[in-house]
Amino acid sequence: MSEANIWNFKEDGDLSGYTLIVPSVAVGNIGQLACDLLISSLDMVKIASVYSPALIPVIGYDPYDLNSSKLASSCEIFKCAARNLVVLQMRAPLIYKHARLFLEDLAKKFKERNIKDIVILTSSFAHEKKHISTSPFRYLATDSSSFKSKVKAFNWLEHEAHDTELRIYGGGFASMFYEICGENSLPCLLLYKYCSEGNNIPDAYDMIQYLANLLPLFSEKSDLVSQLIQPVSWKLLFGRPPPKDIY
Amino acid sequence: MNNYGEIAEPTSRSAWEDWDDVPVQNGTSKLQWHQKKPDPEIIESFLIFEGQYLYDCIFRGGKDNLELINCVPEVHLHMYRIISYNKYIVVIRDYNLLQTNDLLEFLKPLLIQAHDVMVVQTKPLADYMSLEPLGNQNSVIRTVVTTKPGAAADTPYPRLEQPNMITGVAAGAISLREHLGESAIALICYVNAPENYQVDEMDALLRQLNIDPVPPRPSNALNSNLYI
Repeated sequence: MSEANIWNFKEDGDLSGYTLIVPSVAVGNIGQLACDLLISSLDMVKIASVYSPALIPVIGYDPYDLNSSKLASSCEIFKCAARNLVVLQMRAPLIYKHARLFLEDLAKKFKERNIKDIVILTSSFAHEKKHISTSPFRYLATDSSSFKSKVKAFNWLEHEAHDTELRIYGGGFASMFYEICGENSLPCLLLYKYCSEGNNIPDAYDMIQYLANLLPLFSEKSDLVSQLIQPVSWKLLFGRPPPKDIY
Repeated sequence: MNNYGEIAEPTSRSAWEDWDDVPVQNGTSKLQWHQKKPDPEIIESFLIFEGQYLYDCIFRGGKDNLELINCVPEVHLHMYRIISYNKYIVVIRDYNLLQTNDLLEFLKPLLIQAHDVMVVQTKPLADYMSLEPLGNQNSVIRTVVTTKPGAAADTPYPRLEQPNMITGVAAGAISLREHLGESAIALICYVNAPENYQVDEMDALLRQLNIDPVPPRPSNALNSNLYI
């Protein structure tokens, strides 16, 4: 099936020293919203897109630039050279039966390009949170992850495993990709937030703020929130404005 | 919202598989044509008509200029050739969104082989996102065109505005052609109550293809469940 994936890389550059952020399609879509914020705020440049039978197809025009005539599809990769950051944005869910082969191909593609490490962003159902007075964030890191010592120093809460198998309820493909990264010896940090479906934009802001503790994403000279730019495509996130003639 | 009091989930969310349970493998048998025939050798234009309105136009309309080539009955997919042209039309409706990729893989050889691809999709007008009020419009037509322009790229219709996106077989066909560096165009017709209104632009398009459009049959049933 990996032969069925069509990767269109616009540049064949090495990604040594870069961190890859992958959002899992999960409850509240927090990971994807956070990636949208990163791409828009850091003015990231599209370096690749992929067509795969594992991805439910979507297509439209560039969601970050209303005047652009460039197409945007289900899965695209963006780069910010100034921050050594690569973001893989997913705009559609993965189909379960094809997911493993696609994710293995994804890990292989970035291993070939010498990616330094991977951060998976996801979320879990709020009702799964057992200790209600604690932080809504949890993490999981492979031993090789360069962030492991940092998160320990910050006293972040680690994911509590209740099964032998890694399970993050509502977290989509995150746990599967984390295992694949481990199998491929790719350093990986998985970060998730407990949430419910609704307006999840504040959760995405929280996720970025958490992430900014680990990665030098924004200038420390000014307030982080003031540096975040919402993509133009978020304008109608909750539908069209009400018709004027109802008033 | 279709009916009074109905809670409508966004389609993408309702189609999302539950990854926490082992998903049921529903209808995963490989798609195959009803009749064993070789694929056409030369396809000048390959058209995909997606949605109930277009399905009805083809099925209720005169098929004098259309020759049924093949079909896949379990997914309501029919392929016709427009007589006297080297153009092929696939008509499709009512498939599970999770089956989209199986359908695309099935149609992939034809999508790769065709010189030009056009997909026409009808969607409910309520799905169209715009800051501008729509007034009394019953339909809105927009396009999505690949980077490599095809023969039909100079249509009079404006391009689809963000944040609108399309999904399904139509989106997959455009995405595949874009990734292959080939041309394709999608015409998206957002239509209000397609069972009751005739969409003049769609009819004009069908006439260009030598297909006689059929006026919709007005429904006698009340569209609201308020009084039923």
